[in-house]
Amino acid sequence: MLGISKKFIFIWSWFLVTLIAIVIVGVWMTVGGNRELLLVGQTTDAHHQIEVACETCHKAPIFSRPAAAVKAMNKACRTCHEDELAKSDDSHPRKKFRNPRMAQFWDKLDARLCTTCHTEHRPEITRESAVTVAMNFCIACHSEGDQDVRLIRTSHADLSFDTCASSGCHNYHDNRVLYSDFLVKHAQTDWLTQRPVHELTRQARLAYNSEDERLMHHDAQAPSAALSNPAILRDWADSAHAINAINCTSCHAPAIANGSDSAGVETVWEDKPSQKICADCHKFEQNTFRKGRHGMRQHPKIANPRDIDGKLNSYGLAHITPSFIKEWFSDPAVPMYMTVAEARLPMRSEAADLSVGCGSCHDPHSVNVAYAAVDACLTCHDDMHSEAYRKSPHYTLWLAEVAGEASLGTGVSCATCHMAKVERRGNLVTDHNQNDILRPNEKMIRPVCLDCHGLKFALDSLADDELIKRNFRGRADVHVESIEWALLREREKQDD
Amino acid sequence: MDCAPEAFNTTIENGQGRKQRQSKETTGLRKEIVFVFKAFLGKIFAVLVKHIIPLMLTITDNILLLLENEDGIFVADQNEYINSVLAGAVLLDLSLSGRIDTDLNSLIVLDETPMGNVLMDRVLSEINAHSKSADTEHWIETLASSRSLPIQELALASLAQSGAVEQKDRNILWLFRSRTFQTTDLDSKEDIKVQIKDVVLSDNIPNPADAAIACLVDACGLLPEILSDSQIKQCQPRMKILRRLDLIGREVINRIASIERRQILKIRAQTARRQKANFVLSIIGCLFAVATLLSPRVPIPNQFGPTLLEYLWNDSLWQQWTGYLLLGFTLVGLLIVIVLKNRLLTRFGNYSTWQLTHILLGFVCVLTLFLHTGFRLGANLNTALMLFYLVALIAGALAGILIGGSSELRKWGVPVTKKMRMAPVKTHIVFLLPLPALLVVHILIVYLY
Repeated sequence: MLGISKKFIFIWSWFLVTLIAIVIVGVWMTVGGNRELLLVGQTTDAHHQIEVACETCHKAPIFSRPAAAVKAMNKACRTCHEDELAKSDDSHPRKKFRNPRMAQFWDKLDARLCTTCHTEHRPEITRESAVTVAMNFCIACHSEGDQDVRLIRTSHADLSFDTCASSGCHNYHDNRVLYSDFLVKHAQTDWLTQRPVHELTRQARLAYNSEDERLMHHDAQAPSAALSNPAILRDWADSAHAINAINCTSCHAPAIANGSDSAGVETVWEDKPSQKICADCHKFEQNTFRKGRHGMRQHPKIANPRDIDGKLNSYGLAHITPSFIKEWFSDPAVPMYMTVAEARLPMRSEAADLSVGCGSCHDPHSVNVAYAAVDACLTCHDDMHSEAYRKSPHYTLWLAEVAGEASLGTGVSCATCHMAKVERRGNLVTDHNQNDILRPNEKMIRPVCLDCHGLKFALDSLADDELIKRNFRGRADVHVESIEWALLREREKQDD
Repeated sequence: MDCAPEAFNTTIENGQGRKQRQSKETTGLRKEIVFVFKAFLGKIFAVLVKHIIPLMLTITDNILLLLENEDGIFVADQNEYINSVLAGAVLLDLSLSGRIDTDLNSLIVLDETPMGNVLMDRVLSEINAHSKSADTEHWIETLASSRSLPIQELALASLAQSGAVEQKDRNILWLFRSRTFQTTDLDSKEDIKVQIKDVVLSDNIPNPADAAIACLVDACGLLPEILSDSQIKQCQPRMKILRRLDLIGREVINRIASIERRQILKIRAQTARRQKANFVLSIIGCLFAVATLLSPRVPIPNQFGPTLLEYLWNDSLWQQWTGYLLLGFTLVGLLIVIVLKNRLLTRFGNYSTWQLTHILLGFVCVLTLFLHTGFRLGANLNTALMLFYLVALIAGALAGILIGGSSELRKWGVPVTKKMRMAPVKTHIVFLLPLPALLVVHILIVYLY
C-alpha cells in the first residue's frame, strides 16, 4: 500500500508510541497528573499519607540544580518538624553543624541536612524513626579525638557503636530524660511513686465535673425535629458540652449562637457540622491532631495540587482543552481524612472503611472522653500492645477510676500515655499528636511515666519490647545501666 | 586452452537457460531501453523488452547472484573465501573469452583488448602489468586480497552495470553506510539454479562455462541451496568428471579448493569455538538473569562507613556510573544487531564475530545490571523497566543457547528448528520495545525529583 513497507509502519508506530508515552509522563512530572506510578520506592510510614502531594517535600522547581533541590527538601523537613525538634531540646541541632569548625565532620556525616540520615523512598534501609543510615552512625564523630566516648566515659570503653541508640541510652535528637543530671537526680526513686496519680489528667477530670454553668434538657436550642430525638438530647445533656454551657446552636447554627444571625434556627441549622466547627473552640487539639498521624492529611503545609487550569490559561489553551484531558493531567488532592485501611500498623479488618476525624473518636453529642480514651482506639488498633491492654494492670486501674472506685487520675487509658494532657495558657488540653510522646518512647517518661513510676523502672520497662507487647503486664527482663553509669561518672567527677 | 572464446558468455534467454554470445554493446543498449520503457511506457513494456533482449551474465555474475539472500547481496570486505572464489571466476571468465591462458606454472595474457567490463579489464591490465611470470594460485591469492582492486565491489558494480541487479545505498542511524544489490529479475537466479541442476544431474556433455559454474558453486558450498541432500550425494561422481573437463577450470578450482580447505577448516574451527563461547556465555547469562529476577536482593551492609556495596547501591554517583554503563552496553549491543543485519563493518570481523560480541555484551549487561541493582527490582515503573529488561535478556540468552548450542543440543537428542530459534529472538525484540520509554522516564525521575 502506497509503497510503504510493514517494517516502516512498525518502526514509526513504535517510535510514535514511545514518544507519546514519554510526553505523557513528562507532562505528569512537569505540569500535572497522578505521579504515584513514578514513586521510586515505598514512602515511609506516615509520609505515605501525603505521598500524592510530591511538592510538600520536593519543593524546588522541577529543573533546579541538585544542590538547590536538596536544600529545598531539607527546608521542607524543617517546615513540619522544626517545632518538635525545638521542643525536644535537640541534642544535635542543625545550627551546631553549620559552624565551620564542624567542617571536619561534614564528609563523614553531614548533620546539617536531615536527608543525610532520613532518605525517603528507601524502604530497604529505612529503620526505626525513619533513619536510613546504619544505626552505628555515632561512630562518624564520636570515635576519635576529644569526641571519642570510649575515652571520655570509662563506662563506655568496651561498648560498640551499634548500642548507642539502644532504648534507654541515647537518642540523636531528644535526650530530655537521658542526660546525666536527670538520671542522677531520679536515680533513687522507687518503682512506684507515693502518690501514683497523673496530676494533669486529674485536674482535667475535675474541670469536667464542674456544674456551675451546666445546661439542662430544656435549655437546648434546636429545631423541633432535632429536639424530638431524646437519645441525642440525653447524650448532650450529660456531656461536657452541656456542663460547659455549649448549646446545640454552638455547633449546628453558630451564627445564632454568636448572635450574628437573627433568623430562625431552622434556616441556618446544619445537621452535620464540619470539623471546622470543632476547631473553633478546640484549636490546640486541632493543631496537634494535624501534626499527628491521625490527622496529618490536614496539615497546613501540605502542598496544594498543581494548578493545571492556571498553566493552561497562561498558554491560552484552557478553553480548547477537553475536560477529560484536564482531569487526566490534574494532580490528585490529598484526601482530608485517612481511612483505617490505609494505616500501616495492624488494624481491625472490620474498621477498614472508617476514617479518622474528630467524630471518629468523640461522639459529637455525648463527647464521651472515657470512650475516646480507650474504646475508640481499640475499635481500630489491632497490634499486640493494644490487644494486651485489657489484660494489663493499667486497664484495671482505668476501670476502677471510671467506676468511681478509685481517685481521678489513677487510671491509665490509651490516651493517658499516648495523648497526654498538657497545660497551655492556663488551660488543660489534650495533645492530639500522639507522636509527640511516642517515638522514641523515652519521650513518654517525663510527661507520663514519672507521675506514677520511678525513672529506673520506666527506663527498663520501655526498653523491654516483649513487656511493651504485653502492655506492661509483669516486670521488665531488660535492665538499662544508664543510671548506674551516670552515678559512676558522678563519683568519678567527685573523686577528681 | 581448450575452450573456444565463443563459449565465454553464458546467457539466459526467455527464462530457459539458453546460451548465446552477445556483444558488450548489447548490455548497455538493453539497459538504456529498459530504462526508457520503464519510465515512459510502463512495466509491461519493460518486461517485454527484457524477454526480447536477453540478459548476459558472466560466470562471476552467476556466482554473485547465487550469493544473494533475502536482504540482497552484501559487500563483505574480509571474506577472503568469497573473494578467492570470485577471483577464480574472473580468471575463468578471462580464460573463456580468450584473454588469458594458463599452464601448470604460469598464467599468461593472450589478448590485451579490453572487454568493456570494469572488473575484467582491471584484472586483465593488472596481470598484463605484472613483469614476472606467476601461476594461477598466485593470481587467485593476489586478486582475493588486493586492497587496490576490491574484487567484490567491482564484480557487483559490473553486475549492476549489466542491469541484473540494482544498487541500493542506505544510511543507517546516520553512522553507517550500507550498500546492497538486489536482483531486478527474480527469474535469473532461478534460471541459474535450473541450469546448474541440469549440468550436475544429467549425463550430457556440458560446455566448459557450465562446468566451471557448477564447480565454483560446489566450491562456494552453495550446492545445498540448489540440490537436496540425496541429489548432492547422487551428483558427486558427476562433479568429479566436471572438475576434470577444463584445464584452467580445473586449475582454478583446484587452487580454490586448496584455499577453501584451508579456510574452511579455519572458519569451521573458528565458528565452532565461537558457537561454543556463545553457548556457554548464554547459559551463564541466562542463569544470572533468572537469578536477578528471582534472588533476594544483596543487602546493603548494616554498618556505617564506606564499603563497596554501600557505594554501589547507595551512592548516587556510583549509581549513575553503573546506570550509564548499562545504557552504553545496551546501545552498543543494539548497534551490533544493526551491524549484523546489514553486514556492516565486515573489515573488523565476520558475522560470527559480531554475533559473539552481541552475546558477550548481553552477558556484560547482566553483570552490570547486578552492579546497578544488586538484584533489586525497584518499584512501580522501575519494576516494569527491570522486568522488561530481564525478560529481554533471558530471551536473548535462550536464543544464544539455541543458536550457539544447536550442535550440542542435537547430540543430546534435541533438534533445534528454525521456529525454535526464532521464538526467543522475537521475544527478545518485543520486550526491548518498551525500554526506551521506560528508560527515559527512569532517568527523568532520578534527575527531576
